[in-house]
Amino acid sequence: MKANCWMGKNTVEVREVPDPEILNHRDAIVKITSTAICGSDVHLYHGVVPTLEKGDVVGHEFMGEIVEVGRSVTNLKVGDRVVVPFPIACGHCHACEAGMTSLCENSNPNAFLAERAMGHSPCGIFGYGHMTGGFAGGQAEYARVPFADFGPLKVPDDVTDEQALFLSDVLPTGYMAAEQCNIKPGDTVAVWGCGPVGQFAITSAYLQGASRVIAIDNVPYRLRMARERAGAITLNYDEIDNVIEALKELTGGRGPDACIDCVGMEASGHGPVFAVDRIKQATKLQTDLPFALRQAIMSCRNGGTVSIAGVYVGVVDGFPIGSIMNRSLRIVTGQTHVHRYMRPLMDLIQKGALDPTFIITHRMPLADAARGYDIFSRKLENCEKVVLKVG
Amino acid sequence: MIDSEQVHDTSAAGSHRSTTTMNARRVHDLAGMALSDVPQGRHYRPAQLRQPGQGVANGLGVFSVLLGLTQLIAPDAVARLVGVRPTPRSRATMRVLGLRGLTSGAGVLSNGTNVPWLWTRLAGDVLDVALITTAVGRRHDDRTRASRALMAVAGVAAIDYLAARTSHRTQQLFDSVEPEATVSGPLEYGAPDTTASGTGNAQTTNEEIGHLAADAVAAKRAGHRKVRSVVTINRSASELYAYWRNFENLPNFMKQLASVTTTGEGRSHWVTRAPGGTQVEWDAEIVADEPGALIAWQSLPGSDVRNAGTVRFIPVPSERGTEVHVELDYDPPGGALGVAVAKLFRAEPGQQIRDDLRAFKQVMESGEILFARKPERLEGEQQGIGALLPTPQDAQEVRG
Repeated sequence: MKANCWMGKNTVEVREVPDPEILNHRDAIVKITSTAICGSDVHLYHGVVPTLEKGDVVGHEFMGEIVEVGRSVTNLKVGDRVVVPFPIACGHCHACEAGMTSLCENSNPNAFLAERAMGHSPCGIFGYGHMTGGFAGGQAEYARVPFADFGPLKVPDDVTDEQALFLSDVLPTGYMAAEQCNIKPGDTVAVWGCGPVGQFAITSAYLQGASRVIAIDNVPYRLRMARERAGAITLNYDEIDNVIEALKELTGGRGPDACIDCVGMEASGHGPVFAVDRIKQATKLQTDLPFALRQAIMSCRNGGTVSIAGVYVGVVDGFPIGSIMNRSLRIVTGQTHVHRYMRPLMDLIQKGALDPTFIITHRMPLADAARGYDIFSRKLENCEKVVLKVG
Repeated sequence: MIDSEQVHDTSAAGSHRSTTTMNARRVHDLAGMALSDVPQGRHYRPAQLRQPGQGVANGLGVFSVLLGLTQLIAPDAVARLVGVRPTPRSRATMRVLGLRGLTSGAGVLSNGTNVPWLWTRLAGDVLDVALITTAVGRRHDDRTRASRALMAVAGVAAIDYLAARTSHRTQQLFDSVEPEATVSGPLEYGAPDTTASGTGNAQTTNEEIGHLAADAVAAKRAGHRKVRSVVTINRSASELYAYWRNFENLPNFMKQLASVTTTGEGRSHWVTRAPGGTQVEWDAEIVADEPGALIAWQSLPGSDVRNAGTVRFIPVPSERGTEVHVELDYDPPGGALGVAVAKLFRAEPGQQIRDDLRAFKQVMESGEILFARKPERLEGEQQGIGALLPTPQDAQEVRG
């Protein structure tokens, strides 16, 4: 089959690889119809996520049709249309039973690697390096889906691929980022980053009762989308000296009730502090750039919530722990527990209360994946979200 | 998933139970502490205590090996460094010293804070001082360099002495503890224990020394290894006990085992997958068996690989699953040398049992050991991937 493989820093290539096979009884094979490029795929593309190996099949946002099931999979049959959550979860461990599927205790065969780096291991993830299992990803013609009797959600006939696809990751991720802020009516929420997760965090914050959402970015077309499609008040940090002061101005001096970081480890910014961060990252003194996160923390009102949806992998320097401690901030974060959001969000989509398709700016065949990565990572051609059509 | 009849089989067999109460009490302790063993308001010392001087001893061991190798490979360079003019005689001496360094280094590394090996390092330092001092006295050698070398050796000797003395004191502490003093009975959750446990005078020992003593006793037996691990599994103690109690299930999650065949009366025949394709086999018998709580087994006398194992199943309150504590004692193949090599390459002896327990958890919770990709592709490349194993359902089917 054809699959998009990571071939080294800033290089992906659609290559011929062996077809996936059923390896465990709870597996299913999905013939992929639509798959998307995620912001975290861009971190892989840039080579900043550890334990990726040359030739690994990437991609963790995908959906398609069941073509084969293992003998323990009784709830799905060949021909079913499904969307697949990016965290691989068994459904029976303590974490899964508590609904925290991205912490599944049985889905990462390389848990020992993750334990060395992080103390304990999160779940296995499709196409996301060997520290999270080294599972082949979904930017391909076919994918093997472990624990298929628990993960994939059947897609109703009246829901299109493009409506359902983002249930695999970015829509639940934006939704959870807002939900864990416990937004109350009247709250002001600030969102750093107007990529797909940022757009959905804005949308979700409004759905959850926020009265105003402020979006911060420096890419004009993304800010426009946040204003026109998601309804945010936008701030371009290229135009202002001090984001924290600007947010004070907008919130009567208090700061936003909740601050959501939808940027993650490859934040960009200005000034000497940002320059020092880049040097530290380049010299491996830190793995992640905490520029957006630092702003989110410093901006948040006393006693407010900072929610981290952007991906971080390692360590950062200059983390403002004093601001968090002295001002009673609450930090909430995590890889998304996608399974628990899929069905309720599917209901909202079916009812017409939520249309996630507005983020799609590019549709192209799987064969053009390399071009998709290029324009998405460099923010060319007003690229917000690339959907790869397969078959 | 679990054949509950096995539980009844066990209690019906019962032949070992009355005779092994004392054994069971011993292994309760040896199988590691559970939270339920630690009453509120009590200091807890974990099983794997940091031994005083361990880090220094390891550092000295590595230093010894590296210097020894350098002396063997480049005797003249080392001679010049310490101010001695290279001659055939200095070369031979240097190589002998190199061998000495390698030996004591390997000794220190394989036995950690084992005191005699540290003293051999100190003896070596004294010899070095003597040799270099004669060099300082000779006119054709570089006196400045020799004096500096003398000071360096004196510094290393001081570290050697301190490390050996610290370890010696630790050893004395170990020696003063009777193994029986660490015996403790199971305690109820949350019940503050004022009477201590086990034997009457054991309170101080339990609190202050705990497992240190058990480790020391084990360490006294040359080449002996003891590994412990624990995992919490979201299943009842009786289910987990029943699956484990059928030893023929063990190869389903212990990938180093090729098969275990039960031969009746608590006995079983074990076959391992040993390195190089050879098989190691032995017979074992159950020495303690408490349905739903504990199983202990050990190899029969005369086995090639002497080993013993204990597993405890401890329910966690509030329906949070069951803690599974495992301890294995064994004499590794290759003896002390094998351990030294393993340590040099940082192969952690506890890794295997941790992998096995993780696999046990996967089998019991998710019903299978998950593969990331087809096993052949990863063979020899990456550890931590289970072999293609049957599910518990398969095991049941095979048993009929």
